[in-house]
Amino acid sequence: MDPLALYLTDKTTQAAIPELVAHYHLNDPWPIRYAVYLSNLVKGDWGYSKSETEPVLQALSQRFPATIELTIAAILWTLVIGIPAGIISALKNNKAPDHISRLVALTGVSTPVFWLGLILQLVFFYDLAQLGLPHLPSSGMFDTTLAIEYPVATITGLPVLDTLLTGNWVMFEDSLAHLILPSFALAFVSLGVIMRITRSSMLEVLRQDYIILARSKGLPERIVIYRHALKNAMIPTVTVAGLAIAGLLGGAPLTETVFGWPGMGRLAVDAIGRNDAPLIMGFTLITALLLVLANLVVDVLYGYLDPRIKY
Amino acid sequence: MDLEKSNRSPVISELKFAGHLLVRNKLVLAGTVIAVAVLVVAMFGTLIVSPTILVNIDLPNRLQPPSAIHLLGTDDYGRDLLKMIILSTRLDVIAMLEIVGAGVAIGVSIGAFSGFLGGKLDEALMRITDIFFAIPALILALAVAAALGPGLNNLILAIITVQWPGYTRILRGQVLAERQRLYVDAMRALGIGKIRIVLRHIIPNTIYPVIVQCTLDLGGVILTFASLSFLGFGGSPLTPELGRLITAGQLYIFQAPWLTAFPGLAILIISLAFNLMGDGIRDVLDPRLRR
Amino acid sequence: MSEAPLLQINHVKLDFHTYAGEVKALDGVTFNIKRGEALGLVGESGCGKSVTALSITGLLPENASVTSGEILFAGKNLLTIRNDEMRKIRAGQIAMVFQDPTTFLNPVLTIGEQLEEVFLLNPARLASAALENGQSKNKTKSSLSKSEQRKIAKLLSIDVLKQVRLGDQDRVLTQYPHELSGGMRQRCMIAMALARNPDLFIADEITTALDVTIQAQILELLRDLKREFHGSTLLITHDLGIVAELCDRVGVMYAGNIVELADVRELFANPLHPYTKGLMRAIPMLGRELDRLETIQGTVPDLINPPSGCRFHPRCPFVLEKCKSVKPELLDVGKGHTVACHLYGEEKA
Repeated sequence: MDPLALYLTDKTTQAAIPELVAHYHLNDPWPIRYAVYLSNLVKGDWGYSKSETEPVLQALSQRFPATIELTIAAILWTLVIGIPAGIISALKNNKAPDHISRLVALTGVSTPVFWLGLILQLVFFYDLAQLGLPHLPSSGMFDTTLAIEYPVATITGLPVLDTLLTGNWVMFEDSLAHLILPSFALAFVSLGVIMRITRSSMLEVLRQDYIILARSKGLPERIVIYRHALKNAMIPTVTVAGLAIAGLLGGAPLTETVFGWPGMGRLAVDAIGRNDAPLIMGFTLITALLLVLANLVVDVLYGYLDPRIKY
Repeated sequence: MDLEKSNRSPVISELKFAGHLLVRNKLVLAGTVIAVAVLVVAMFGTLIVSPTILVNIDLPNRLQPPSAIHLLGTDDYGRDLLKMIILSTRLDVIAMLEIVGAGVAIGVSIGAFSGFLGGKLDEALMRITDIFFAIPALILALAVAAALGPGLNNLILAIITVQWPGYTRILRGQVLAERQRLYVDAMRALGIGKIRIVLRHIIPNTIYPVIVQCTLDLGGVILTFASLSFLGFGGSPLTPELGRLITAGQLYIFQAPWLTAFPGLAILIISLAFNLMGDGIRDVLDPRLRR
Repeated sequence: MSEAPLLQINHVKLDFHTYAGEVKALDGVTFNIKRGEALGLVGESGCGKSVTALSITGLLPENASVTSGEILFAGKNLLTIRNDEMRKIRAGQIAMVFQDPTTFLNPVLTIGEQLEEVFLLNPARLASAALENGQSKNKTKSSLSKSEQRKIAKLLSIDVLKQVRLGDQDRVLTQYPHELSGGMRQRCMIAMALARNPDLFIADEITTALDVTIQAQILELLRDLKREFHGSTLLITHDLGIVAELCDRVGVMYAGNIVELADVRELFANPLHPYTKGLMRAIPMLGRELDRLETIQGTVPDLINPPSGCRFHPRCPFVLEKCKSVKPELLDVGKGHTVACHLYGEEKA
């Protein structure tokens, strides 16, 4: 890949090139170029997007909140459905609820995210509308025409939060409605994963000796499960959660593309079509950083759950 | 009487136990059967459906819903969707096998030598694989595919790039433990070369978990492949691939939903089948589940 | 002397369902425990001692089923009562301590949490303890607030930790199991049992997993507790030495059966069953001249296909024809000594 490509845009003039080459040391051997690149990253210079003609960092940070809103919503789906489902599955081991949730979980990890998004749009947007029933919107973060009447403030950049904070109930409902389908589609895969790991670690914990002791004390089963078993079972689950978040970040581009969601992922996908290398590299970098951050949070949680871990 | 029982070959009782486990779980059995069927279709796909159907354009019959003649309907060129799916399955399955196969080969080699030889080489290689883990797989594959350029082989290469670090990590962990075993020292004392030890002894003894993992990975790899295809990577728009079919079908999603629904369903079923089969294999090979 | 026993076990048979077949773990176990007495249960690993204890407390694993027999305690058959009744019994009347304090203590909860929850199960007792200590503002029994309950529970926890001779009780309460030594952990488990003031205290091989020196310490604790504790004890062990020190009566188990039952002195002085004799000869004892320690020939039987008749017959040096087909019942041979062997009873010449 031509190192110059990172800094060339469609608008760069021939005359400007020598200066670019000098500024970024593009004619120097690659260790120096690499060092310059890294130091520029830290300084905030991530190159220029070839077609957007704006700095990569700026383009990405504009779309950043949208992706965050999507990802956080997906995480919520995953935890709120996945963990209780996993617990129930373990408690009713090998009975009907267990078989159903295992099937759901297995289907989850086997479903292509983009296809699921399309099908959800088909059913919840088109089919329901055809039948004259209330339906969910198919794309975008909120209805832009409606937003003219009820302007959405920009506090956090997450419409759902911003409308909530400003009491803008019309748009709150609207942005929430727009969020449901894409976040669920994104979450479907990791939901299955969390369900399965919660189930299996719960089963493992319930076999342990300390559970026998807890029962022998005459504790009600409810306390045995939620006080003695659950905390232990969450340890492997939290570890897997880190991987699940990687999956969510990876699925974001697909979901955003299918649902016309104005996030970083969609920006990156569009960039591919235009061969916009700097943007793609910037996007890769940012998701890597997000993943590292998420894993850090996971590690901290892990240390909190398990007193044997000392940092 | 007891003596006879204990003399019977352990392999037979292992197989009996494996069979018992597989059959006991009807879901796994179903999955394995379907997976095998899919493999058969992939192998002999071109015998069932000739690739010429790709150019058999039949415009008067375009966008027909499922019917007795065209079981899954027709696409925007009037081609039978079922036949298109069968043809595409072949490509997807072969790509899946290539990716996992190459991933295992590379990952095992790097992991084995890195773990066995240790030292600075090991450190450096581990840092490199750490980088791979810091980036979500799909996105890294996306970036690599973008860098490599268009084309089916480039897509496959891109996914292989993402696939191998996982196996390296697993195998290296196993090798680190295996390296401590006495036979290694004994062989070194006899003057047997390191390469030979690694290839003929270390790798066969440590490859078990990698085998288990790669069968579990099959389902996920085909999803990654189809997803990136859907986005436009790998091959021309005319390539019969399940993700591509959905890209094309997307345009008519509300008029002809079958064009989107069925190829995706096919991906789901294939992935599900291999996931179930992988689960079953893992249950059989996992020593902890032995009672 | 004719007081009703606290616990009466009659002809309990129990099977485990496994992949390899039905394991006939208990084959008609019969014995009783009187009020205030310490009964020892000895036997090799796998003879069914722990399984018997688990049957009493209702803590059997899912693949176990009792096929016949009854376990009578305080007028109830523990095998047939409802789950929540059994739970109440575990909470206040029968307490069990297990073998391995490392795996039996919850690693993510502090000792304090695991101890106080036992006290918190019994609010009435907390209230009366509060009244005694003058801690409670109310005169009525059942109206302690949650925080008051916790305070009392903490005080009671400190008391019971003192009882098991653990120092620095405040600190121990805040520690996690992995921060304590093996001996301390075992004392904590014993404390959790004593906290319930049980009528029956079951100790399942509680010294087996410990170092010899720690074993001695725990034994000393048990000796002291024997003086202070007024309930009954079921002491399960394979160590005859412990039995000799701490028990009033002893039952010998083999392959799921009680084969002999007697006062402890009587058993050591006059072992009758060939298996018991074998056990005695296999350990060194003061006051006896021996050239060698003898072993019992053969191995523990396969309980999926147990031997017919008397389960010990393949290893018995005194085996009779009858032993191979007819299972011997427990017969009283006087002085409260019972034995299940065809050598004694009607057949004896």
